[in-house]
Amino acid sequence: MYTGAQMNKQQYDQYNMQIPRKQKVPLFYKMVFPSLAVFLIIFMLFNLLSKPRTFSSQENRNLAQMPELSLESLADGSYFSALSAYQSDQFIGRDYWIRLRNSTQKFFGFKENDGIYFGSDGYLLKQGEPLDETKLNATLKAVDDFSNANPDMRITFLLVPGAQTVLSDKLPSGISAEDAFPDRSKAIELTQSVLGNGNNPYFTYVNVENFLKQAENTDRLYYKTDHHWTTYGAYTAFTNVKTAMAIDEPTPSFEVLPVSESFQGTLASQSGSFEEEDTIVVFRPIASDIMPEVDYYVLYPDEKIKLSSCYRMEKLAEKDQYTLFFGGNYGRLEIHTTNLNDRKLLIFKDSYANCFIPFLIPYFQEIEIIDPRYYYEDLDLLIRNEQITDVLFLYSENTFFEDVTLKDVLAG
Amino acid sequence: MSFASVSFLFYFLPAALLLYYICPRKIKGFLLVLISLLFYAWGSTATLLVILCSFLFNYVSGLAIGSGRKKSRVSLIFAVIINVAVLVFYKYVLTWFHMEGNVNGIPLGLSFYTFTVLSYLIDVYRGTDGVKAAKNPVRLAQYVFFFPKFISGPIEPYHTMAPQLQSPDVSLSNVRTGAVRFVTGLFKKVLISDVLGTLFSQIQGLPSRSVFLAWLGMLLFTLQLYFDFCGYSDMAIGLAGMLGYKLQENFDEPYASTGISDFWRRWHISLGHWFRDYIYIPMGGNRCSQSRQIMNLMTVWLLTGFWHGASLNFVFWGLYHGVLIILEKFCFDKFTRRWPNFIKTVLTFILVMIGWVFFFSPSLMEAFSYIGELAGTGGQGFFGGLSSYYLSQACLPVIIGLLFCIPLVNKALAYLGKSRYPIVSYILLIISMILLVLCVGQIIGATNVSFLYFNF
Repeated sequence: MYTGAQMNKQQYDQYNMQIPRKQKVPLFYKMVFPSLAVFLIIFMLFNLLSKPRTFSSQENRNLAQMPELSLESLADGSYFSALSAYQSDQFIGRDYWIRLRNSTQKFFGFKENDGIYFGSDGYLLKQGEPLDETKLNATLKAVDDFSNANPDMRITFLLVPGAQTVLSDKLPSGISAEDAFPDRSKAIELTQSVLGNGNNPYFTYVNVENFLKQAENTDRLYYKTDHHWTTYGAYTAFTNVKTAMAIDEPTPSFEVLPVSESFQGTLASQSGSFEEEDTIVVFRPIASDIMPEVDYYVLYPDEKIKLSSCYRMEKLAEKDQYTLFFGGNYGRLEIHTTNLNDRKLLIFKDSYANCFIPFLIPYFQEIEIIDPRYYYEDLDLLIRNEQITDVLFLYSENTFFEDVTLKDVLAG
Repeated sequence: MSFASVSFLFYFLPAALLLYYICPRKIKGFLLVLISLLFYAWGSTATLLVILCSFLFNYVSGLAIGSGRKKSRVSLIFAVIINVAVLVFYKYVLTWFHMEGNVNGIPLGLSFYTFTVLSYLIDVYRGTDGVKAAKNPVRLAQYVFFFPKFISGPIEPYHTMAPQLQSPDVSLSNVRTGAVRFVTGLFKKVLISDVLGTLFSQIQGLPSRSVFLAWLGMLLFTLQLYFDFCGYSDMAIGLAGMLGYKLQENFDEPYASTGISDFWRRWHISLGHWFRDYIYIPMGGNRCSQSRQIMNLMTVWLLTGFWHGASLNFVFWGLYHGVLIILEKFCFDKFTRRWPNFIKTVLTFILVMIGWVFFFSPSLMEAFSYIGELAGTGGQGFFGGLSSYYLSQACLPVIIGLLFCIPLVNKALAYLGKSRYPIVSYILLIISMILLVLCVGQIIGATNVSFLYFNF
């Protein structure tokens, strides 16, 4: 090593390593700023030039629009928050960025996002919500009161467990059905204790959990990408609930028709996971000697239209293909059939019922369908006018435990 | 507005830099003030007036203090009291008496702002490094409102920033270094901290935890907080660099510290320096009796705790560190001096982690119950409940996080960044661009709102 006279650092370096006098800027440092600038500016220009979208079908919501500048919105700070929302909602390729995030999280090993588990075989399963006991108690009390007040009606109460309960083997490893819905057992216990002691001899509480779990092919009972059960799930429940509903006629044979193979439902949207596509099937009854064909029409009182089918095929072109069944949820629907047996069924339901109701059509003269979330009319009047003989409550557990509208409708 | 947001990255930043670079040198300072005020208004328009009034008051106070007459001491005391009173009112009184609804929002970054302003007033009073009161309000506004550091620091003292205000060094080399620093910070914040944070909040949300989960949760938060704050400081320093300013370093591999005092020389350095220069040393520092020194330390740590938040947790957390530092200084140092550094680092890391429990728990009671869970009071045994579920998810994020806490790894990366081989630089650039794309995905993806119940 050189140990001679004074030598400064730079000279020393030059002597040893032949580095040019002026330290060269590392290439990486030269490239980062221009790359970053190009990246940001290209996207800025794209965003400024692209036309804003009004609706995101992937997220199933309206996207934020450019806010209007006003003194008021500036002063209370709402202008800038609206502007920020607009900028991220209208970012070019937003849907793909959301998917990218999902892939990144899966790369890190995440097994859930926003309350949705990434289950095995492509199943997305929703976590159960925490239970609000007073809320559920009030709903149950209302159902019980309704049942006691109408002792001459045959009332069936059908609660459908969610995929996280029935398909617990699809949950990520380390998660049990109990973990996925910790408050479920408490909710079920409460339901049984309130509804088990009514005075109406024609009231039946049907628990389809075991029927579904023991079904032949449990995999097809629920959609992989949506929170609903499939038509197979509904069919399984129907065959098991017939007795309780006193339907003595035989079940026809069905032709199973796949109507869509590109369904990506709410769970895909919420989790940002779009790897799987579901098939939607409808069951078409085959007329035979034992079960003759029954004609019907569906009346939409709000829209004042009559349709000859409960399947609205045009909905398959939309994002939420599950609305194929009856076109979604309406406050009130009526079905009138050619089976003039004087049995008139009233259904209180959530959207789980939409793919179930077609199975009931041949057995009733009239079916009144009420979705309490959108129903604001007089229930007593309807019961008297339509001379209701049968009642069915059909809910998924997940909505029923959370519901706050049924009790108001039942109370009148 | 967070630096890691669509609005900042794709609108505010490119537009601000573009304007700033093309604007004539003479009015760059003025433009910077306008940009900074827009940045502030974007986050909290409603409190802009409060902060502007405060600024005006401090500008006048600075002139009064700097006038050099005998009154300057009185002016300083008055100005300090007013500033502290505003901070106490917004940050503490409102919370304690649940009156948040009575005001139009709390001014953004008020704790950082107050310390910045106090630094100005005291430096002017003392004439540190020959600084004088700013006659030109634009210069003072440049310092106070400087948007890269406004919301969460580093708390740059006035005397180091003052010489830069007149003519910032907007050189190509500063811009380049700043850009590298900025993206490094962005990666830390978005790709490490936020990922760890997602897991942490899930574990924190559980009704109770096994021993393993309690430790894992604590470790996740420890890493999340570091990468969040350090990433944010990196972005601030990088942005300042791109604008031609030099801010002091805020973190220096804190989790490799070999003691609590050492930790505080390497964690949130600018805050530590602030307390040292403006509180500890004026009180006598360590050039006084041992008992006085202990009192000084406890005062500083009590204030440090308070500065972080209004709840008792933070006070406790501050005192916890104060006590540890005093014990370390006066009791344990003799024994531990010869221990291998590795053991000291691990012990320090554990003590710091336990401190963070008080940081992340919503109340003191919950903090103690969490500490209990570390010892098994969660009632789920050592590895029960969801332990295996979270172990499998946390593995990779934790490994990545711990890796970047190791000084050697960061040195190696810095070395690669300065490599003379073009191939290395190109590979690094490609990786950086991929990470940048992933960042955008994370940022936009986080705003995914799907209305599940819309169509139930």
